[in-house]
Parts: sequence; C-alpha cells; structure tokens
Amino acid sequence: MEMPRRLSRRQLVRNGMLVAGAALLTACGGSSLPQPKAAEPAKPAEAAKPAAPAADAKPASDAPKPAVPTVAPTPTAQIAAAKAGMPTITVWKFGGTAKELEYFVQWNAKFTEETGIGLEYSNNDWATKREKMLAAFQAKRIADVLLIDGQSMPDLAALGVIAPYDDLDKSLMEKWKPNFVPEIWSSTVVNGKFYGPSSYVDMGSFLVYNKDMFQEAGIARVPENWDEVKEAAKKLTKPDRAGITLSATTATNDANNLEGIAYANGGRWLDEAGKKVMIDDAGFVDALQLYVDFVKDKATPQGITETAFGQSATLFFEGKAAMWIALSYGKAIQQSQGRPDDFPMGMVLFPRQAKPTGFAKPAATIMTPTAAVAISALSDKKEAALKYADFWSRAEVQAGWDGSVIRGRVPALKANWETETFKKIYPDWYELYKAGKMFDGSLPMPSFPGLVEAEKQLSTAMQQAILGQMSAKDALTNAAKRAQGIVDEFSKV
Amino acid sequence: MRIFGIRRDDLFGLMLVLPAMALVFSFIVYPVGEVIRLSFTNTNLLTRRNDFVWFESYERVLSDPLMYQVLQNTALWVVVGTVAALILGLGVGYFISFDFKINRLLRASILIPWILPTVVAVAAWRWMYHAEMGVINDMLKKVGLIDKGIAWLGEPSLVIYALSTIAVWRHLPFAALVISAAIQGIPTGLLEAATIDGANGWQKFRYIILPQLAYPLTFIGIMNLIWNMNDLTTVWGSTRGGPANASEILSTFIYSMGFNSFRFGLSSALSVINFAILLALSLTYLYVLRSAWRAEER
Repeated sequence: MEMPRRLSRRQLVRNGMLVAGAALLTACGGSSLPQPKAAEPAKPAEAAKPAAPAADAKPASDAPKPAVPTVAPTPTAQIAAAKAGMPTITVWKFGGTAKELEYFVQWNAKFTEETGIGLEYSNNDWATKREKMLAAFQAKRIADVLLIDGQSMPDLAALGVIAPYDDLDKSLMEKWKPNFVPEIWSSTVVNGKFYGPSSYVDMGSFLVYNKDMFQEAGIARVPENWDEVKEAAKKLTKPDRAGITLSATTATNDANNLEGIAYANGGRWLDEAGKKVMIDDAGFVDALQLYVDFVKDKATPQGITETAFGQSATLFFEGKAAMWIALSYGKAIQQSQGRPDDFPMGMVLFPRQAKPTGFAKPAATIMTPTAAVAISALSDKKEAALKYADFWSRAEVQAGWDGSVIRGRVPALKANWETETFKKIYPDWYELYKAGKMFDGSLPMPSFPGLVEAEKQLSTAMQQAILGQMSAKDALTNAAKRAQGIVDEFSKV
Repeated sequence: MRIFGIRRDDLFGLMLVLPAMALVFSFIVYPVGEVIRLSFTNTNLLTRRNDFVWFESYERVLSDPLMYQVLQNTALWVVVGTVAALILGLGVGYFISFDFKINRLLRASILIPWILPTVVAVAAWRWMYHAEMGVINDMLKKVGLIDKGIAWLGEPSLVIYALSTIAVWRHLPFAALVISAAIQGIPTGLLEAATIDGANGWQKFRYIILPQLAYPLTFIGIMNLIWNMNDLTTVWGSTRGGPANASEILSTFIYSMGFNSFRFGLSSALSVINFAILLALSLTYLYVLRSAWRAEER
C-alpha cells in the first residue's frame, strides 16, 4: 500500500519560499501598466438650466469618439528614453475616475512615443495628496509634474512646491491661453500667476433628480427656489426612500457642496479684502439652515453626517433617494459605478433662494480643476515637464473630455465645447455656453492658505447644526471665529 | 591588549552592538528628540516660521477650547478599547485554550482581523455601519430590533463606541492568542489538585488560572493602551474626527494640525503631551499590577 506523501518541515519552508518568490516576481513583473487606483471618484460634471427639467442628455453611444491611443507605457519605453539620452520625468496624479485613469495611461504612452521622454507615472490617493506632496517636498523627492486640484494650489504655491508658468515659459502660456475657456484658465491663477493648464473643472452645486420619481410624485417641473426644493423633497419622501440626499461628513467635497449653495446665495468665505472670514454671514447661514430644514422635515436619509458624497451617489442610483445635492460629477459617478446610460437622471444648477441674502453678488457656480498640470519647483527636468504640459494642452489629447470617453466633467478647452459629441451629450451646457451663460458669474472654488483647516471648521459647523447641537448661526459663528485665527496666522505667508 | 583604552574583547562586543545602536539612535532617539525640539518652536511650513518660543505651543494647544473635548474623547476611546479587548480577549482566549476540535480552526481563523490591513478593515466597517446601506442595520431591522437605521458613525453619542468596536475586533486575536498560550502553559497538576480539593470551574478560573495570567494581562493591557492611544487609521479612516468633533482624539488632532495645516510646532507639542499621558498611564498600570506579579512569583 502506498503511504501518503508527507512534507518535511524543511521541504514545506523551501516550497513555501519558492511559491512566495514566484508570486512576488509575478507581482513585480506581471503588469507593466501603471496601476490606476480607483481613488476618490473625483469630480465630474453636467450643468443645466436652472429652471426647466433637463433635456434628455442621452450619452450617445453612437457619438464619434476621439482616437485614443491603445499603447500602454512599458518600462521598455523608459529604458529606450534613457538610452537615447532623453530624460525620464515623474508624474503624480491624484484621484480620478477609472475611465480617466485609463485615458491618462494611454495618452502618456503616446507622449513618450512622440517625444522620447520617459515617464514614471503613478496615480495616488486623493484624500492624502497633501501629506504625500508635503513629505516628498521636504525630502526633496517630489515628482516633476503634479496633476493637482485648484484648491491646493495656494498652499503649494506659498510653500514653494510648485513653480508658476510665468517664470518658466511665458510663450507657452501665450500659446495656450486663447484655446482655454477664460474662467477655467483663471481657476489656476494664484496671486496673478498661472500654475497649470487643466483639462476640465468640476462645478457646484447641482440638484440631481430622478425623473421617474418626479413623474410618479406628480411634480411637473424642477424646483426653482429653495422653498420649492423643500416642498418637492417632502413630497418625494417615502418610508423606504428619502426625498433628498446630501453629504455632511468632514470630507472636502461635502463642504464644497455647501459652499456652492452659499456662494449662489451671495455668501463668501472671505470679505473683499480677503482678510475677514464671512461664513457667519446670512449667505452661508441660510444655506446651512436649508440643510437643517431638510433634516427637520425628515426628507433626508438616516445618518447624513456619516454619508460621504460617494455614498450619497449610491443612495441616489440605488433608488433610495429621489434627489441628490452634488457637484457637477453626477454623470461621472454614473459612469464609474457602471449605472445604465438610460438612468432617468436629470441635473440642474441648484436653485437659488427667492431673494439671495449674502453680502456679495450671487455666484452662478463655483469651480475647480482636479488635475491641472503643475510643475514642481524642485524639478531639474523642467523643460521635459513643460513638454508634458504642452502635450496635455493639445486639443486632440484633451478630446476625451467632450463626453466621448469621459463623462461628467466640464471641459477646459474651447474646442471640446464645439464637437458634435459634446453637443449631443450635453445639449443644455452647449446652449448655455453659446449664450455666454455657462460661466457667467462663475467663481473659482475658495482657495487661500490654510483652507483645508478652515474648511474643517465649516464641516464641523455643518454637522453641529444638522445634529441639532447648535443653531446654524451659532455653529457658523464659532466656525468663523476659529477660521479667522487660521486665516490671520496664514495671512503672514 | 587595549585599543583606545578599551579591551579587545570589549571592543569586539561594542562593534557587534554598534549597528543596532546606530539604528536605535537614527530611528528612535533622534526623531523623538526632534519632536521635543519642535514642540518648543512655532514651526509652520506655510508661514515659514521656525522660532524658539519656549512653552508657547503648549500654552496654545492647552488653551484651545477643543482640547478638553479631545482629551475626553481620547480617554473614552482608550478605556473602552483597552478594557473591552482585555475582557473579551480573556473570554475568547480561555475558550480556545480547550482542546475542542473546532478550536484548531478557530485559532487560525481568529487571526484574520489581525492580518487584514487596517485601511481595508476600516473601509469595510464604514460600509457595514452605514445607516441606510450597512449590513449591521439591515440585520437589526430584520430581527425587528430597530425600524430605522442607526447612524453608528454619524451620531456623536455612539461614534466612539462604534469605533472602539473596530479597534477591539482588530486587537482581540492578539489578546486571545497570548492568553490562550498562557493558559496552556499552566501546569495541569495545579488544576488537577484543585479538582481533587473539590474546586468548581469558576473557582479554578478565579484562584488558579487568573493569577497565573497577571503577566500576560499586563502586557496585553499596555499594548492595547499604546495601540489605541496612537491609532490614527481607524478614526481618521472612518470619521476624520467627526461628527461635530465627537471622535476627535489626540492622534487625529496631531495629524490634522501637522498635515492639514502644516503647524508642526503645535503638532509636536500635542505629540509630546500624548507621549507624557501614555507614559503616565503605562507606569500607573504597571504600579497597580505589581502586587499581582508578586503574588504570582510567590
């Protein structure tokens, strides 16, 4: 009879190490593609008319698509670049949807193919981008190119992490500027200096709604002011469905939503001189009170203080909420969550209060890029980095943001607003753009040194008011006081 | 023979410990010293200030109205997490120390929370806790205990307990395995003698097993104290100190001060305070438990 074969301890260890070694080798060499992380589904966009129900923006599957290169970068390309005496630059991207990450990888390969410049490209976590950049900057190991958001720019500029293009190559700026939507171009200008071209911006704030649920509840038109939104939310609420979902965690995106509504109500973070914190003014207080009213009316889901924007999106697309307060990224999340193209989603600019109450002129929207091409001040390959920025400013390279590849983002290049695909996917945006209303009165999202900590005070106030610990006014007064300390300290930059 | 006045044998010994000492100095002594130095400065990367200000940073953080809440939250978080891990670890460790067939499987599978990356575990718990979409609320609804989802991470009165549950879930395997190993090391003769003397199960546990566990329990207690006090990932990954600062603990406050606002002077002062509290707690704990060790040694 054959005895069962037993492994000795030594054999077990040896075989185990062999398997582990093989697995390690496979993991290291198996994929030459930079692995995009499905990080924070950053922020995409669809705008619409403030009043009328959004027209069907059928995501044209038959729409013409730009020629996306299919080559993926390989280490061989870098080796070839090195052999040819060409530099290799490091590029860090933060966050983004899966489609975008794929798109970047593919066009990066084309860049290397065209210029011979090697790329060490990686996608990084959105939520810890500041920590990563700061630590790398201190250690003098920061990437040559940083694909970053507009709100981080003032801090990074003040720290000397990124270099203004004005000091790098003005002629490039002159070449690019006429091709960009002026308001989007301005969203990466800090203290009069330009810090990077972007391919899109996200705008806020929007009201996303389920057309079928509106129809079922007998709501014939989209709410036009806050009272109408409150009424609609109450009407749409059912035992198993919230009338409206909103996010009130301490994540930046959630603060951005409230900021968008407050700015449209005439609120501002700072006074005109940029010195006094104004979030305790009526513009912000009333916007926060609107959130509180939604909660008091029991029109929101349970636990909005633990519900981040991605979870709000899931509630909306799962049919657990009829409306959703979001930035312009509704369609991008629809795409990244793999929701059907024919989901009955409508999207309008979040209605304003019948009579705005803030001290400033109501802003149409606020916006920020999330992947502007910034160049590190420490880079010793600035020329190659500039070539990279130039490449990503080209119309054919940015073409995917017209909706043919990437949905839900507001394109930065004028050319993208004129493609047949764009007109077909975003007819409302196109109409507003042609009428000069899309960006009229839009402002960059708040950005000043110390913003992240100041925004945390705003988020805390938002939670305190929503949880009923304080009135909206008191919570924002406290937050303003704390934020003022931060602004005062950081204004010495 | 002497080299630089040191005996050759001693020199050889010194050479052997030198790499270890260099590592300890580079990665422990120097960074700790640097944190202490920074705590006496107003270092702020954005304002580019780096002046020596004596105790000003300490004054600033201690006079911050939020600090009182942070300390309260930290105390609750550490006490709940440590005590629960000790009690549950003792229970689970005692159970898996028996030679039940299922315990072989349990001893292996209990390690899963321990080996799972914290970030992954925290992300999973966030979804499980969610008031509308979480499996925990779903189960509670199905058994009829609640009719509406509870916002475990969104309700200030619950959040610390919900977070402590994650921490205990992660630390329990370690406690249980250490205790189980310690119990298995108790001479069976002691237990047999107690049985002959007519001791029941509880009496054997109380008067024989528990005193033998004084060392492992102290060790587990101190480790949990340190882990909880320094745990950033669980809280930051779940709530970032919210809602309304209800889960803002020292570690999140330090992180936020350092990496959100680049105020490394204040952040370092908070770190030194954190270190001092931890040291005081550990010494008190050791002092209190010394009598139990003496009893064990006798």
